[in-house]
Amino acid sequence: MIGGIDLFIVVFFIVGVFVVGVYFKKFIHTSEDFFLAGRRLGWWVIGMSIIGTNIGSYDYVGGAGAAYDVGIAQANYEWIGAIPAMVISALLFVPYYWRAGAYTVPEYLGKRYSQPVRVIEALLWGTFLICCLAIFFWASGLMINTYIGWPIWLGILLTAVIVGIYTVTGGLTAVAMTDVIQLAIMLVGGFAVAIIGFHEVGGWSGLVERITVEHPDHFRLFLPLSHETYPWLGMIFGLGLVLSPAWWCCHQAIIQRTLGARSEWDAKAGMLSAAFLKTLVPLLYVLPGLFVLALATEPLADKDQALPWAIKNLLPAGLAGLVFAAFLAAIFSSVDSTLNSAVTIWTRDIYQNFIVRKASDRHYLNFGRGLTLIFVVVGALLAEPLTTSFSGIYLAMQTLLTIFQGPTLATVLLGIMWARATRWGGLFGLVGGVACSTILHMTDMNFLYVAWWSFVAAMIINALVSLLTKPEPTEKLRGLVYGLVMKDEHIQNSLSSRVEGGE
Amino acid sequence: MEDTKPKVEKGLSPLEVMGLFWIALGIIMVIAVYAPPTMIGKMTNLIAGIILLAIGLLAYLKGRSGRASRETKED
Repeated sequence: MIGGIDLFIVVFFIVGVFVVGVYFKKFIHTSEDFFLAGRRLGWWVIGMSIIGTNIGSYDYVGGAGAAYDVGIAQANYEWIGAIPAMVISALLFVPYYWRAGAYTVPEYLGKRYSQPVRVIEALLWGTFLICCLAIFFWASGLMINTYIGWPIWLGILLTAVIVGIYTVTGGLTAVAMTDVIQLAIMLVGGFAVAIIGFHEVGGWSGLVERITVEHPDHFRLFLPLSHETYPWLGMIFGLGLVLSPAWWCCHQAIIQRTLGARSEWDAKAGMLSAAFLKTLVPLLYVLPGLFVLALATEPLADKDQALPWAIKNLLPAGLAGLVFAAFLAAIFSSVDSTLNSAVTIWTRDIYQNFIVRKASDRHYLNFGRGLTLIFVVVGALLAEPLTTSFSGIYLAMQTLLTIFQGPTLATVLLGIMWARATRWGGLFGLVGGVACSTILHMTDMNFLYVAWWSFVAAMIINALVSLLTKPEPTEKLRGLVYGLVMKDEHIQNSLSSRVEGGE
Repeated sequence: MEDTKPKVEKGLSPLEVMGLFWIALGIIMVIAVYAPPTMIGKMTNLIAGIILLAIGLLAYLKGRSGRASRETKED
């Protein structure tokens, strides 16, 4: 357990993030300020906030454990599993979302296909994000319990109060700005761990020499097809072609930052700068996992103990506190982003769309704030029952994600790339894809393959049904489909005026 | 906000606030040099502290100059 100067650093971090987050309340005047930071975010804030949101506690603990177990193949989750998809997202998806003037990905799908598609997507993402919130709360409680010794419920309560208050008051502005602060701490902490780790093992060559004697596969980026968790084929098709693009092109918490950009250029540049930062992320947890493997004299009983071992045995006082603050930063940035995105979806796509359609802007702002508080309480209460019903935090996340990631990507991809895709194609493709992934899950198939086949099923169903139904009118598709934006000057102008008019 | 549309707010800009936070954390890390018994431990804390101080100072100064130029334009 940490104490002394380390505990002081952690307490300073917690109090500081809270104060900074609440400070951004002064920038919130309208619902657009609350949900989209007033569409004022610059590219560097977007880029850093995306990475801050993306790195969670499961990346740190689970990722370091996996690196200890399988080696640098784990880094593929950041490289193959992110960077190409982020570039595609920046150049192909983000411009359409941004130009549609949407607040959420389901809102875009509602414009492109139909209200039922929007509602199904909103319910899927809205439910998923609340589940994520509960999982993050549990991870936070567990981490505080492990390192500081406080009861789990107290850790959950602390996280809920701190993150809840600044998210309620400061909305996406507070979320994005605190993400920036937190990412800087994570990177500095990771850099310092790398320095001390390399010093202990004798540099990169020393690290390789120590590990390859007993673990020759630990420096292979791709593992054999027979590998239980990371078969290379599944990594390329399931992770590289489906799960990763689905995450980076369709995940509300990721995309929401780009929707808050002050210009289309900032939205795209933000995602591209995040792709650059992503190359550094393995520094944070893959390297520590390898350092532990090289330095630990006895094999660890539980691979997820790799990072706690590193903190206890490798890091000096002071740096241990900073790295623990970086853990907390990873959790806080995930919790606040998930919270804000869940509230945006439930407010825009469900409440404003069905329940109270034409209220004042102040009404939706207050509703969003109230809903944030409610979700904080729900997430905290669900934390234990939801997480303990799965065999681990990482598995819980993956299982929930895989069910609808593939079908979502297929629906968005055809929606943007193929003008012939119809409202019925979108609806049947999405529902059929989710049904397919649910059935495949029951067969105990590797989740990477489940993602791939549910994506393929959704694509085929969408295409077949679209060809059998009446095409959508061109007027409806303007600005939402590739070709109708890029090649027609008239449409470009009409889109610009639409965005400027706040539609 | 120097990286936002001109929507004028009084008080510190976001960059200044972030900068102050990083500076404070950097100072604490530099002070923490006393804690570890080994030289490598002391050096690592010092490097981490200096990096945080540098990031914080840059952010604070950029935020302050952005705010000053906005206030000049207003006047």
